Amino acid sequence: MKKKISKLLIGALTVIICLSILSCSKMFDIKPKSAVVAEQMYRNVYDADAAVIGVYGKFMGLAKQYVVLNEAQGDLTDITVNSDQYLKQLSTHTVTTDNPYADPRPFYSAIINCNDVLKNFNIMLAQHKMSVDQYNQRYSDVGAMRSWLYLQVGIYFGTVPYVTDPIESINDLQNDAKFPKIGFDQLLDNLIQFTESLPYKNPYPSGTTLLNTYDTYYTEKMFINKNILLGELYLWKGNWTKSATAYRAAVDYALIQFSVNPGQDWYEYYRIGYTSNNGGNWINIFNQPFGERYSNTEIMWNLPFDKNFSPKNPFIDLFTPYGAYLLKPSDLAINNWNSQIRTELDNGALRLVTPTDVRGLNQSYKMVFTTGGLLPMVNKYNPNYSPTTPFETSGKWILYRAANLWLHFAEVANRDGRDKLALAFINNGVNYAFDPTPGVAGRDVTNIQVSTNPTTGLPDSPPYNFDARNGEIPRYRSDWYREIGIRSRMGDSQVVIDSTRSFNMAGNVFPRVKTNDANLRNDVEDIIIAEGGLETAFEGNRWSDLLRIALRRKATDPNYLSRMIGAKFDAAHSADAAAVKARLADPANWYLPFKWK
Amino acid sequence: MHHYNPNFMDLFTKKVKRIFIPALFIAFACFSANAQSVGVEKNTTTGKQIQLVKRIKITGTITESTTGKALSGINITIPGYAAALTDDKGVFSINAPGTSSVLIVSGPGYQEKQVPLKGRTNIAVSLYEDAFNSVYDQALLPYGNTSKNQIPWAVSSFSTTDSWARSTETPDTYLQGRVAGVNVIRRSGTPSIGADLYLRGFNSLYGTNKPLYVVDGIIYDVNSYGSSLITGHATNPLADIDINDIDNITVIKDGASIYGTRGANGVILITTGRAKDVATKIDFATYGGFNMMPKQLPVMQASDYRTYLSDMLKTANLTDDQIQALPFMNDNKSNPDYFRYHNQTNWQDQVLTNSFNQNYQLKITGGDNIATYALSLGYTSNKGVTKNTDLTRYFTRFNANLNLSKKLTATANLSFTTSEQNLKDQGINLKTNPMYLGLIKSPFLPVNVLGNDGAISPNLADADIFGISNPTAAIQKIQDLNKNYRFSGSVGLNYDIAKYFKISTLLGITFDKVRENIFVPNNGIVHDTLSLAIATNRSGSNVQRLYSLYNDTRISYNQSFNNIHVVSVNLGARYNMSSSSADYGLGYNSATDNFVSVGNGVNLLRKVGGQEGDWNWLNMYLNTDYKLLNRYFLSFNLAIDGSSRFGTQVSEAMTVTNDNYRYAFLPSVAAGWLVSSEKFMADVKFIDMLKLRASFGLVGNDDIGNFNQDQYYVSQNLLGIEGLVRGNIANPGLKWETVRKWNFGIDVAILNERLNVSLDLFNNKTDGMLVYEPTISASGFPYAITNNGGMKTSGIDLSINGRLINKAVKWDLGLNLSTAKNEITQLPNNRLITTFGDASFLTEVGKAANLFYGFKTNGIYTSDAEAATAGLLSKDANGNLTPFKGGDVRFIDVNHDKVIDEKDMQVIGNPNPKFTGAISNVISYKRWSFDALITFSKGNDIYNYTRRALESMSGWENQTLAVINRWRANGQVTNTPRAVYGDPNGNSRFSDRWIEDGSYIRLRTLSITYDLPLKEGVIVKYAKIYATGNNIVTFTKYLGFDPEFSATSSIFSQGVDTGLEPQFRTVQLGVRIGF
Repeated sequence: MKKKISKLLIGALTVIICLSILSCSKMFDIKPKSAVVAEQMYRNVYDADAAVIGVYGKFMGLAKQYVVLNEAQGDLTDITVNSDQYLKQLSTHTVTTDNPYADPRPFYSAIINCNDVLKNFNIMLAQHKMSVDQYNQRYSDVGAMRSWLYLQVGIYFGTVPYVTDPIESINDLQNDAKFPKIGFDQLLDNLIQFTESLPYKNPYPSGTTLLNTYDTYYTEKMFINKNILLGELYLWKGNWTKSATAYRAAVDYALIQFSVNPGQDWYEYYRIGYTSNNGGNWINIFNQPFGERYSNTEIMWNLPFDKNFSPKNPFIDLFTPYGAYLLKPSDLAINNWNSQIRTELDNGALRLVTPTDVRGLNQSYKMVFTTGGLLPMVNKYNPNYSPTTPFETSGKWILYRAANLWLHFAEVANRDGRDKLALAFINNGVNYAFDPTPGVAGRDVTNIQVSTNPTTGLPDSPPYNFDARNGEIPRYRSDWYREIGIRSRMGDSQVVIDSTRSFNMAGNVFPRVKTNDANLRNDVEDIIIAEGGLETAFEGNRWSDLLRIALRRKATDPNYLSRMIGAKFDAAHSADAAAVKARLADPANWYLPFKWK
Repeated sequence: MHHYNPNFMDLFTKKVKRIFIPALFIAFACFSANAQSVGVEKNTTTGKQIQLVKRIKITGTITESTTGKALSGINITIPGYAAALTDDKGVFSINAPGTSSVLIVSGPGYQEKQVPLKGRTNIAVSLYEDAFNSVYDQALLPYGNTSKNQIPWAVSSFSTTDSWARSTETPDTYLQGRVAGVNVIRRSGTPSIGADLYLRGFNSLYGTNKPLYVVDGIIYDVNSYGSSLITGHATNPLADIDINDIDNITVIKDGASIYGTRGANGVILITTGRAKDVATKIDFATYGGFNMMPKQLPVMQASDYRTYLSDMLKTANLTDDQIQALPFMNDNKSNPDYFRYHNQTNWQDQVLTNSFNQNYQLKITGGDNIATYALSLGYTSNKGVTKNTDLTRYFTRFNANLNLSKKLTATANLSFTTSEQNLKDQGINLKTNPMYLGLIKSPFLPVNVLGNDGAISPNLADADIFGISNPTAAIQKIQDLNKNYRFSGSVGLNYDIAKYFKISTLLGITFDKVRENIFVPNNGIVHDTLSLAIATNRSGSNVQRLYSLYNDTRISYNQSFNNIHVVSVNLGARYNMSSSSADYGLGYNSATDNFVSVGNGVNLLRKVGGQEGDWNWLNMYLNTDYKLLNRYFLSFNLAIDGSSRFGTQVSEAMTVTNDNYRYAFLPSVAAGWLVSSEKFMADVKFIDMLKLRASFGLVGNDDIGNFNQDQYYVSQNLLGIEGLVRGNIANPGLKWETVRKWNFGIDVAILNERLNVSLDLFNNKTDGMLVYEPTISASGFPYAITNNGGMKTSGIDLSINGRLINKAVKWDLGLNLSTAKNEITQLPNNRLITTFGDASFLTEVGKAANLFYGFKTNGIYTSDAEAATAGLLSKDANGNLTPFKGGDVRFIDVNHDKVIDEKDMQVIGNPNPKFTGAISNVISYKRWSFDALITFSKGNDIYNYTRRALESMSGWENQTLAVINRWRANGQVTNTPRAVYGDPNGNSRFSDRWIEDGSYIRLRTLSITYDLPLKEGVIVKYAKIYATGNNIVTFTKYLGFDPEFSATSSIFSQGVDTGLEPQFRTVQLGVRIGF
């Protein structure tokens, strides 16, 4: 008996020792339970969806930095007494690398994540873990997001590392080849090349798992619009026709969205129509809930901040005196609105009567009374926020809306020789601008109210072909008949160029002979930029708009940026005005310093 | 029992080849090296051996050292050769194989002693009593017991004979002052909170600096998994070991790589009591004690506070009229608020108290020749000095030894401890820490709600007009309950395979669970602001679990060759599988303060979270000890460690490679020379023992996180949709930290062991130290976890023990002293600034880790004019510059740019002590014995966070009396700045104003024992009465409650006095009876 026990024991011990010493790979291969290791990720289309959601979730964390960089550096917002030294640096263009707002890392965090998704989507496709359609849609979405992020990084920093590798392990950090440093222009080439190569440029088709209503928010407009992205890339690159083509594809979205029964929505979707968001209703774009009908005809890309979910809406703190109040409308921005003239019915006739712009006070900004006195507050982000309900912080981050597009489309059209069309977009629409006798009823409009080619005088070809005919005999309700232009939608008077700078105005020679095309382009462009300041102020576009024009005119007007930004300091009677102007006179100071480590 | 994948057998052959075979090869290589040397020795000594076989007769006498009386019945042996007993004249005679033999002398009630003959044939030996701390005592090491004079490693070992008198201690605090090189810093005065223990200083920045604890052969996990919901609290797993169950504690201080990558910070081996013989013995003890309230800090009374407050209000942009309109500034008794703001409350009295502690212990041992057992039961209760706190703990332990057959023996160890502790928030929690509230609360406010006529309501007053909670509400209404249990069980089997070979295995499991429940009421406490709502009341619960399986299996070989060569070899493996989880839930805004559980909170606000961790560790080891002629010792240890935490692409010379995994290869070697046993020492009679030691070894630290080697993804929400994003940059080369340890030691015993000195010089160098290495911004991640750090620590351990008086009165005096000087040798970017408790720390290459980094000051500007002349500007958080004024602090403008900003920060202190140590005294006379332990720490700086809060003069908080001396008018010379609301010029910023010398010397324990004289034949075998005082007196310049504390075990929090419950004085009276 004892012998048996002994033998058993020896046997058992031997097994235990061998087992212990045996390093079976399972022993050291333990997966975390609160995280997902690489092999467990990217197994099927649902994992792919989670990856896409992750990209956008991460992107939302950039909201504050994105808005601050694009506004604090611009001319329409100003710092407050609460602003820290870093916001002051942005405002005066004296940024040091320790400035947290100028840290490229958060953008790269999102970019690296895109890189990781793209790489793994390719593997999934190769391993048939996704269908080709599923792959095309998701790959293109994430690819477009990466291009968008890189475009922003390029705008801020100029020369940047163009990283397309997911940087999976620390060994990759030592590999300089994975961090090629390229200039902005080359970056644009790369981005255009990559974005054009994306296999799918439309929004997710209905039925896609990613298109759904979650927590009352329909996801459709959370995803980037690839046509807009392309339009922007070509715009920055200076490839006008390509840019216009992409923008045109974006605004023609109604053709996809509402294939039957053209109605108001169909005619006004992204088209600056005369019903939606006009006049005092313009604020609907900002104060209506996410996805609400009228605001939906304007908003092309936005992300919601919901009080129940992180991240918390950063704009309350950034802009309201109930929060930290770090940025406020600049005196220049307020002056801009106050110097507009509205056209209103005056004794039955449209006249220029009211000085001001509806988009200014109480829409784009508000004056609020606090213990610190009467303070101007940016209103676009938090029109519904009240300090009496401090936890109602839901809001939305509008990244792109129709007005952005039309302003940029106008910019492109102008540079592509279509100054009249550009001004039509800004002022009162194609229907009005291409009508020799606007406002007259009972005409045959068959040959008017259509955009024409400036050279031939014939109806223009795509992407500049806008048919805005609106007539009764024969009846026309063409696609663009409701388009009324950005200013007209607000009831603002038309803006015009000083023709003497571009045309020979002497005598009664018609049509006027153009004497200086460069002046014409620049003057129309100035109008567009000025309009942008009125329409899309504070929305996170201003610095990039000004920088783009400055880059474009660098050879002929090197002081453009100095002049435009300097105006803010002049308007505020700031002691910094001269220093800022001097600094921006040097293009070397247009970009932020890139913090490498 | 095994958690292996069933298909592992396929892998068996391949893997064995890759790992086992190299390991065996190494083992046998060492083996054969030994065998060769044995052969050589034999050859050279053959001639002598033939002569030696003739037997030499040795004679001698044995006496008792104190009285000189001859001792009869003392055992004299030459192991494996001969044995003899002394006769009643104390004389013995024994045959020895030669005059280089060693006699082992032992007898009941006396020490065991080794007597090298050194050529002598007649010897006289005097023995001390059993309890004497002798150099021949046994150290209980992992591979068996060895007498201390034969160990080449730096090892300290002691028996815990006085633990009965120290019933409020936990094993970690009990170690304080016991062993040179072990710096024990008690965390606070909270009962059983334990201590942070640093063995020879630091070896790591981000990894653990705790030594490894091994209890009865099983690794005892002392880490906490998940953080406590109770601010400032950490469950102390060591408190689950009753110190009365401990027989022996052995500390391995150098690089003996026995435990491979777990042993970087040294090893503490704890052996619990077993039956020493088969007779049934019962020990019973009971203690009762009194805890004394700590001395209060001197804060202002109502009148001083009111003056201070009005000064403060004037600087807060309030007009005189507005100030007069404040309810507390109106002294008109008809004012309806008069009584509410005209009290004299000593808030410290409201939170601190005297209290009691008590203790019961029962231990039964016995058995027969088949099985012996030791069973112990314990109960302890300690109320602490914060009101409404208490600790109750029950201990049970059952240890058994079984002789299953002649060759097969077994052991069993089972212990179960459960405790329940009512606590309060401590440290940095400004709304709910009652001690802090007791200091800052306005003294003119009442405890209870008062009527307009001053009538006292039974309801407690709510948070006050200054936004400060009611300390009494924090004491009475906040619930902070911690419940904990731990089960440890192990079974061991030992089998003698052949004459010199033994195989043994030990299998243990550990279950540990900590459960916490907290509740913070609406009434009386300042509310928190959440992102969605104001939190009126809040609740929380928390469960932390640990499960661990441990096995240690080995083959041992032991052989003595004619007492000339003694060889022992152990080859085996330790396997540890651990799994931990932590889950918490937080609830808010339950309907009333009577609903205290998380489930009663508002659904929308509830938060849950947690973490899980699993890891496996495998340690394959080879140990070879070689002993020549009982005076030359050579020891070699090799550990080959694998772990789930290590990366798959470790590039390091000291690795062993398998398919996918890298194993740490950690050898160590030690040599010892017992000089005193040499013949040439025969005439140096006053030296009993002189041993020189040297050791070098590599040890590792595997506390590098469970999953950092893998690339992983973490959850990222978009609204409520869960997405996944990259969580890290993987480091497939991640590895353990390697610590190279040198040790040189000398052990001397002279004058018949009347004076024992042990001196060690050590140098520890950490390579591959874990750091959070900043990465380039284009990587998207702020840092990667790498092994690109390094540090070194060197120092001296000295211990001196002397029997000063050896007569009827015996006085043993001991001193131990240790230093550990730290230096960072490698760090990405060369420097690192960390913060804790508003303090900044600098860790920089070439300097010690974690130095206080702040502003230096040079007094106070006596006038506006003087400040204007100096022309310095203060830079605030927004970058705005404001000039200093009279009454502001003169900060040193290091870079002379006239702006005081972060560029002017410099090292202003070092929290690490220059040396620490203890003085122990044991005096015994007849039946009395008297024990005193003094501990000290010298040269450590403390950041007095609490004093900063009490002297910053920036808000409405009550302050210490120091602020009465504040600057008030131009020309006033003082050391305390002006009082300005909000402290716009940052007078209270982190500066040397708050750094104090933390040196102290403390009479830690004083105990007196009287052994009652009992008649023979009474059932009671002994009865002893104890009186013990703890923490009797402390000498220090430190202004806070207590100079000894530890906010967290992290190196980056050292020396920050966050306001933990101070240690307090305790007196205890107890009795212990043996049957």
